[in-house]
Amino acid sequence: MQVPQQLVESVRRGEPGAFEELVKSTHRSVYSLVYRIVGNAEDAADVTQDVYLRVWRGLRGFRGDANFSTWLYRVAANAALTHVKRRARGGIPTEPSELPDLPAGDGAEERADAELLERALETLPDSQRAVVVLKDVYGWTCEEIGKQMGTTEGAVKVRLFRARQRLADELASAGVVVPMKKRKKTS
Amino acid sequence: MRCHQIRPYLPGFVGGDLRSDTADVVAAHVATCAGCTAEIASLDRVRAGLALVAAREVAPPAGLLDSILERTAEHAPRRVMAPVLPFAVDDLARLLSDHKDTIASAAGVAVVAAGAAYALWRAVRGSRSAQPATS
Repeated sequence: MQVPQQLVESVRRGEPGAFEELVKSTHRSVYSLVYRIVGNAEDAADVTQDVYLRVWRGLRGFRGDANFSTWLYRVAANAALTHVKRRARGGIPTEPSELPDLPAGDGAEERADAELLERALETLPDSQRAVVVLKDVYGWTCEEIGKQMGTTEGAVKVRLFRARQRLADELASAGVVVPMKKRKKTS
Repeated sequence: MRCHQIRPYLPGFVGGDLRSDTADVVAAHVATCAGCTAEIASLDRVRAGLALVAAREVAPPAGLLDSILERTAEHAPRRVMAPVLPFAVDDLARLLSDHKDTIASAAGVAVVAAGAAYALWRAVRGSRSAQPATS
């Protein structure tokens, strides 16, 4: 997702139609990130609306030192993580929704893995899903994730490793890789 | 080291997320262990698959775009209705803030100048009224 600086400036100046153009060009990427963290479509739609409200208000404080896309992703991740925390406090269970069909592309095996993994992400506990999405899907560092989630880098790594292991187990369950229990034990 | 001691570290090993001394221990074990090598291949596949996930977009529900625009318009009508200025209002506020000392000095000078002008005017007016009337 790349947003032209000129468009960002236009939005800050309050030019008619600029904010709409910004939302049109970014909302799919933002929704995808939020969806992957919160784990269901209904919550993701609500959180995405919150994200743009924050963006609308926060653009005053955005000085253009950072890349706008990076800033937007940060706002989105923060909103999604806040939602997940609030949901955990309220004891509301995650309701995984049916993942929409995704467009086909080249590289059948990788595509199949990605699709399987995208579905498998939904089965992870909220805290593990958030960490593995931000680290392995969006390339954040453990330190950044820790800061964003208000936890230590070590705690992030523990969740990350468990999440990767569970995802590997999901691939094994789907017959994509050999399950650990069927592998010959070696030491 | 045995496999059950090493395996908890494999998910971190594949991502390069371990401390170097820990990674060295894991690497030494993996070099001689077919089971853990297979596990690493599986975890590598997970990472490769997840890296592809980022490029895929999840289709948002119909109407999300309109909902976002409606909601932001509801919460910020002032900004929607704001006329187009040759500069952003925020820029003006920041400009004033950044140059507040200069502005304060200029305002001080203006006040002093105005006071001096007023005193001069009073003096001139006073001297004129003190002059004897001529016929």
